[in-house]
Amino acid sequence: MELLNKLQPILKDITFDTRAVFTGIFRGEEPISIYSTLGNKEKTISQLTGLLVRKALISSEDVLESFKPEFLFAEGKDFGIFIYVAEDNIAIATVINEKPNFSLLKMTHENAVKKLIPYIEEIKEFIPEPEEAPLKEVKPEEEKPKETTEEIKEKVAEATEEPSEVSEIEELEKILSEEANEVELEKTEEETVQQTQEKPVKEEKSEKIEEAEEKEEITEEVPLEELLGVSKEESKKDTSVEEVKEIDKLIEEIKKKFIKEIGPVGKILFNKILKSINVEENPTMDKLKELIEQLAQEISVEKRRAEFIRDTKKIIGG
Amino acid sequence: MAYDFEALLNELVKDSGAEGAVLVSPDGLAIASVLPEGIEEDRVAAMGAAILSLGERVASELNKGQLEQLYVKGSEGYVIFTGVKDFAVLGVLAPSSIKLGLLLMEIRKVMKKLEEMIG
Repeated sequence: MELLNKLQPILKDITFDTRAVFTGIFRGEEPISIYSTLGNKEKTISQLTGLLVRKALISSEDVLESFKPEFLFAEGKDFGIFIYVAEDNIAIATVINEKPNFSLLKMTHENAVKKLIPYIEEIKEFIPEPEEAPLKEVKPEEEKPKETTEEIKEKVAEATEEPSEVSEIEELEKILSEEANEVELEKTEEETVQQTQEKPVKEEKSEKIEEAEEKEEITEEVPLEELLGVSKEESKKDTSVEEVKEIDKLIEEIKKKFIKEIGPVGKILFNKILKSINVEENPTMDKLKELIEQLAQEISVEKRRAEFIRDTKKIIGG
Repeated sequence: MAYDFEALLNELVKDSGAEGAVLVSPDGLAIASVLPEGIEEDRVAAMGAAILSLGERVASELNKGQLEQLYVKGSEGYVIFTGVKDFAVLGVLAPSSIKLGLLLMEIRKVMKKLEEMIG
């Protein structure tokens, strides 16, 4: 509380100087202290601004190497957003409800960051370093002892039986779905951001899946064909499918699964892979299996890859 | 009529001193691009669509009009995203040494041309 009392005057100064309707100090997307005149919209704006801080200032480095974000400025005719990075994912974000003055905003935030510097260590203690994307970090399988493919398959199947498995993506969508007219990309983008908050995601998973994940030990490279349950001979057979429309539906479902797993970039990757293996012109079950194999290779974490294969296998009924 | 968006982007890069430019559809797919080696248009496109849509949601919550322009400044330069009506988003990468005023003016010129092209 003491820290918050120290931060409030900094935010009040910004509000006074820039006539902001919302200003807050964030670490990653977590708000630390907020000063706002927005009333009941404060919570939503805080969430959205937090996402913007994370997406634009932290994730921009994923796109442009060594970009080291300093600030973000967004403007419309009668509104503006300014985000200024202090250090270690700590940023001050301000929302203006009138035509923004860029120079004034920049100067005010530079001054505010100077005032913030003495409290940086306290802020770091208050909110620890936000976790990075789970796809990069979660690699517990590598340290565990070896296990046979059969055992892995059994455990994956066991996890599948759980009927009350709550889709983490759907759950996260609910949190973010206050806007009805979101485009699909926007949804998946936000879901990806939310997925990085590992703890809530883990809590939502069923106990059985947790158990399976803990036990799941994949140290050796398991051939995709084995995971898919496709023998090499079988895979050579080209099972023609008459119902092209049916195939299209299956492709669409696989695409959705893949985008949920990978994030918005998945859409682009999916289209590229789909094109490269010519599924649409030659729609067969074997091609679909090949599609799944290729898509699975884009998923770096073995456990998630196995889950993807399991789910998509279910979709094609293979 | 075939749209030569790439020529327009080339012109923008040449006239403004920017490093690259990309035209992105609202769903985050690249329509045309002129980017330096090592920068993936798909990633820039997805980033642009994602952060603009978040900005627009803030605007919508405040019952404000459309978000017109957004720029992120990094130690290595700027990434500037500008909405082209509902049709697309223009993304421009520029070095930190660029004259921002000049660049924004060149972007406005290209925006006009783009709007004329798409009608």
